[in-house]
Amino acid sequence: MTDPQNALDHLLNGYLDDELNEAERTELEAMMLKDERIGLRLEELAQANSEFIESANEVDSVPMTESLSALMDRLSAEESQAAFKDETDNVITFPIWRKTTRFIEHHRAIAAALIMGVGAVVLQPAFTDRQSQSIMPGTSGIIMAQSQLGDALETLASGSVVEGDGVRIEPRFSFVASNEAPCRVVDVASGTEAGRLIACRSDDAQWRIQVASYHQAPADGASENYQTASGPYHDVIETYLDQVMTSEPVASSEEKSLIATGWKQPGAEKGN
Amino acid sequence: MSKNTPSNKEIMDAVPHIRRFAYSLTRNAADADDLVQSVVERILQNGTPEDVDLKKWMFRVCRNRWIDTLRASKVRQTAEPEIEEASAPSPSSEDVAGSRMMMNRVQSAIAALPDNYREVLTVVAVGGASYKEAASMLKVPIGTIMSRLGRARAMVAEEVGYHD
Repeated sequence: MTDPQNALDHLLNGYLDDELNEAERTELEAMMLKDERIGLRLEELAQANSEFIESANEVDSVPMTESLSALMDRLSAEESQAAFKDETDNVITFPIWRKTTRFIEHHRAIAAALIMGVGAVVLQPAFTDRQSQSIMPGTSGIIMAQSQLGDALETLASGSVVEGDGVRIEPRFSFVASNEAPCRVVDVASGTEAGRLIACRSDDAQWRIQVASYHQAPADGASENYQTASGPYHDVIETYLDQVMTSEPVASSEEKSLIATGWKQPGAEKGN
Repeated sequence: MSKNTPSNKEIMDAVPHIRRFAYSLTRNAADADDLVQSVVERILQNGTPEDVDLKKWMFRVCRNRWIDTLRASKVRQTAEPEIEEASAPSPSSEDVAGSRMMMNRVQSAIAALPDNYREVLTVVAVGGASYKEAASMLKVPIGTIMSRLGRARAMVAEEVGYHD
């Protein structure tokens, strides 16, 4: 290639890559008008560039290696969890399956109710809207004592269900958190949404939602297909349980006693 | 140096671009994926410097990893590039056959490029880097970028013979 050709190619490549200033650009365009060979050369270089880019795009049609594909799947799953968490400040995720498995071993009666509930939980709408005044906590997570949810947390035994105003509430089980606070795992549902939450009772006798998640129920209302035992959302509550639930769920008899005494734990008064 | 931790979504969004970039360098899909995986793992582990464009940073890491690989195998200038054919459907017609011949000529031309030419073309054309950014990434003067880029495109154009 001659030096003039080389210099011209530099200019043409700069033109293709948008690296020329306005004056250079104008000058080159004027040259192209005068000499069509310059335009043809630009076309060749542009085509070569385009072919090169297209050849790189060929890889899009080649499946990823298993290893890279697995890495992408992992990132995607983590992202789904993170996205869900971000979207649900006032929401709750759940399945307790690991904990529940142990729970089942010791509390078969309650477990039976729990298992029956899974897959059949389909809720009415208004879980977060119409019923928001009665069941959803404020930003502090505090649940109003006089609300339907507040009443259920305070007095309803696990495995029992209370329904009203299109909302179904079912405490699943109770446990004592690592900070000694009594906590409850509860399913809440409306026509279009189903949620699970963990609420703990603080020293000031208020129930506060610690973590929660909800899902949209299927549009076709196929309640039997509603899956609460799988999917990334469940990990949120399960993770929380892993962090704070250091012992088995309380037995039904113990829970009954706690409800009767306003959730005062044996020895609590002595200890304080 | 303070670090930034990109989200998984940001990384996943960048991966197709990094994969093309890697394939453009390696001309081998499996090698490209190995390269991409090492880049993603590196970003997950170390994050990125603050105030850098994630994709451009990943291009840079990718290119550096590629060079490391070449150095390790000592084949940078002598390797016979392997080009994998895309598994596209191939309806039979003379036109398609003609296109295929042209495609093969293009692939051969690209494969015949010296690594340092293909590298510059990849960084600028596939990676979208400016000449200044390419010079910084490849640690060569801008004049060298312009020269290699010009030669690379000219070689492909001459090999393919668009106007023959």
